Amino acid sequence: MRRLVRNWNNQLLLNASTGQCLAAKCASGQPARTESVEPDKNGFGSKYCMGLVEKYDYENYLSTLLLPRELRRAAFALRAFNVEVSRSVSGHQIEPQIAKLRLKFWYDSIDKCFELDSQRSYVKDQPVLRELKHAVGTRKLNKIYLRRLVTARERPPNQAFESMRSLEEYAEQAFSSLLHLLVEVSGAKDLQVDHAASHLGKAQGIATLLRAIPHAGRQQAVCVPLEVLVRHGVSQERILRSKSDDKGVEECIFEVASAANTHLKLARQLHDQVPRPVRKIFLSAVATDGYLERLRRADFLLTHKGCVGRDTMLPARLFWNSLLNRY
Amino acid sequence: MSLTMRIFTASRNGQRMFRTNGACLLAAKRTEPKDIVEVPKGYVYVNNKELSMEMEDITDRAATSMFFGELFRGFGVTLAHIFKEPATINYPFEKGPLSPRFRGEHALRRYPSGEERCIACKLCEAICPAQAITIEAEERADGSRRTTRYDIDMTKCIYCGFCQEACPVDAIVEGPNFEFSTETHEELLYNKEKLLCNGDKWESEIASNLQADHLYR
Repeated sequence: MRRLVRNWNNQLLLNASTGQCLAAKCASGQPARTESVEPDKNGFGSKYCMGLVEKYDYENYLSTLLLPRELRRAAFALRAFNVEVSRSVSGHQIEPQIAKLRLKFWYDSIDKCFELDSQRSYVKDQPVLRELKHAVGTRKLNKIYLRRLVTARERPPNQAFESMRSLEEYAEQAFSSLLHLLVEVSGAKDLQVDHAASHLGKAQGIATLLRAIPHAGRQQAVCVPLEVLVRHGVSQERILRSKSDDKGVEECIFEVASAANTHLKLARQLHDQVPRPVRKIFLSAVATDGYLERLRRADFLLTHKGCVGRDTMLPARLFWNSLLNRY
Repeated sequence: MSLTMRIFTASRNGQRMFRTNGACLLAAKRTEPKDIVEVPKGYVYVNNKELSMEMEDITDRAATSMFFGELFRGFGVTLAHIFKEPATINYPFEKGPLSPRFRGEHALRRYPSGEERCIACKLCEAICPAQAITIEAEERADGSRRTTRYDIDMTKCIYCGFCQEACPVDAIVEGPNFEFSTETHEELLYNKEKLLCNGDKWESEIASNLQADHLYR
């Protein structure tokens, strides 16, 4: 299945690059714009971004592949930037000080992407930033959302979430911002779309953080909010040990997962108000839904085999949903 | 294999086995060797025990030394070890397992297109606790800012791995190579060419060690 997807993806890429060449030829006849973006050398930058997203964010990679061709390049640039930012805080054994350094680097790079071409910077030497600059130049992207991707992750890893609200707030800052950006790439401006993106981002964020618990282990605080832990009288350690017969842990995870599920449902309620082209951007909801469903089947045991591994049916489900144009 | 095991156990426990099978049947009331001094209750005396001076024990000891009993048991152990799997590896030709997070010799990586990854942000230089890294940067003719000098003093380096953690573009990494001993100090002052060359040499191993498949924050 993976090979099939990869072949398909190569074909898409070929199409995309020839498309870009044609576009470049068309553009060369016209006078150069001030905010001109230099053409991608052999499509290396976009290929690199795709590779990065495939490697570190496989589920969203699949859903981004299904976007229409004209959005794909910018979408991959944004996703790759998100991967870079997320990776600078969530790698193994990264010192908090060093994580801050790296975040500052990405934060400064955002400003550099908005600068004119005449100002020389390292942006065009780094493929992800080069692609991001291209996306910023061609689409009108909001700097605030890009900055939020970075600032949200400045939260120290050993600081637990106090309440469900703070968890949702983090999820919104870190994950909804990316969806808002992707919506901006598509050019849609609608309050309902923003509303759906916000709910979907919260659902994705909470699911991702739940997923991180068995992976990160004791390197960071457990994402289950303290108020939930206190209500059920469960310690973080018990959640990390994740015994299959621990009722308290099951209830805590259930509560957090059901919050994610509620947001997912709210996002899906707005399905009919969301214009058709934007629905493809929200396709990643299918992956989140799949994870929450697997978690429910595993009785909210985070370390269950089905929850930790890859979902083999996901490509087919994504494709089916994209055919039906729903999320 | 089972035969080897039998030789091995027989040689190690020979005396005890023979004793249980033969002599021990006759001398069932053999006394345990006593401590030399009076030991209070709850204490254990760890020095040599007093040798038993019963006639039978003296004969036993004399027979063991006369028939080279210990020597032959030693030969038995040696013989058994010949047939056992060796505990060591044939080092320069075979190597022990390495963790994917092993921090060995440094390398500067390139993008698959051949561009250098390093953009001279100098974060590694700033974070290096041993101050082993020296960077000088200059703008190239095509406007890209690259390092003209990237030196690591491998004799100062403490292999903490901060440089690879700090690098936002994954340019400097500590690869899996641990065999880079040299004859002189000067050879361990790495410059950019050497580091890039290391990167080209070890790229496949380095890339396979940086694996993940899902974002977690």
